[in-house]
Amino acid sequence: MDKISMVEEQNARNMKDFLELYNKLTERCFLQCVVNFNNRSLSDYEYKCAEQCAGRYVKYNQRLMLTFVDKQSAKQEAMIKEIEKAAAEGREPKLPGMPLQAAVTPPTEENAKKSIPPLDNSRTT
Amino acid sequence: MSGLTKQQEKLVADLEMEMMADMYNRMSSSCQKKCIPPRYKDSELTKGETVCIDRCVSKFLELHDLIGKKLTAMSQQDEERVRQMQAQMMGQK
Repeated sequence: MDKISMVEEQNARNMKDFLELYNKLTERCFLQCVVNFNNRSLSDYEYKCAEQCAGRYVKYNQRLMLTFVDKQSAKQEAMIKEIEKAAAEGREPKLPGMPLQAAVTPPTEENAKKSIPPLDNSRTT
Repeated sequence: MSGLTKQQEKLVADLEMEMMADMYNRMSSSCQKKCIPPRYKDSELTKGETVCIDRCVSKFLELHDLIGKKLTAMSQQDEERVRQMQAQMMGQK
């Protein structure tokens, strides 16, 4: 049952994203292409401009997503390697800091001690 | 699965409402940018501005429909391409 609802949730999110993209695109292309208010309907120039605008924006979005996913997965791989390396060398992993957390909890010695639990070699699981 | 459950239908209807409201807000701000210059001499709209607003709304809605058609065409194309690629991969296996 859970699996079905997760898929549904994902579908709903996808649809919402698509519709948001649609609205943003309409606004953007309207602002850029429609300059003449002498008629009630779109002129030929505006029509063509809108089609090109839509095509470009969608392709831009797709490329942006691909590149983002590429970079993120490379970053994650690097992080995993660093963690493994650190574990092998028995030291703390040097991960890129989490700026939000640092901003919320000011670094004091107590905090530092609390956030990094001492390595417990007695655990078997 | 051809039909949608009642719950799904409700979700879709809610989503559509939300998107309509969003579109309305965007249209409102776009037409204001295009038609109403920020020179407020008096509180009445001039005739030019009312005509502009009329046409702005009309054009925005036409553009909205046009882009909707284009997006569905593009996503259908994408689906077609994915299906072809899958068919190719199955064929190769």
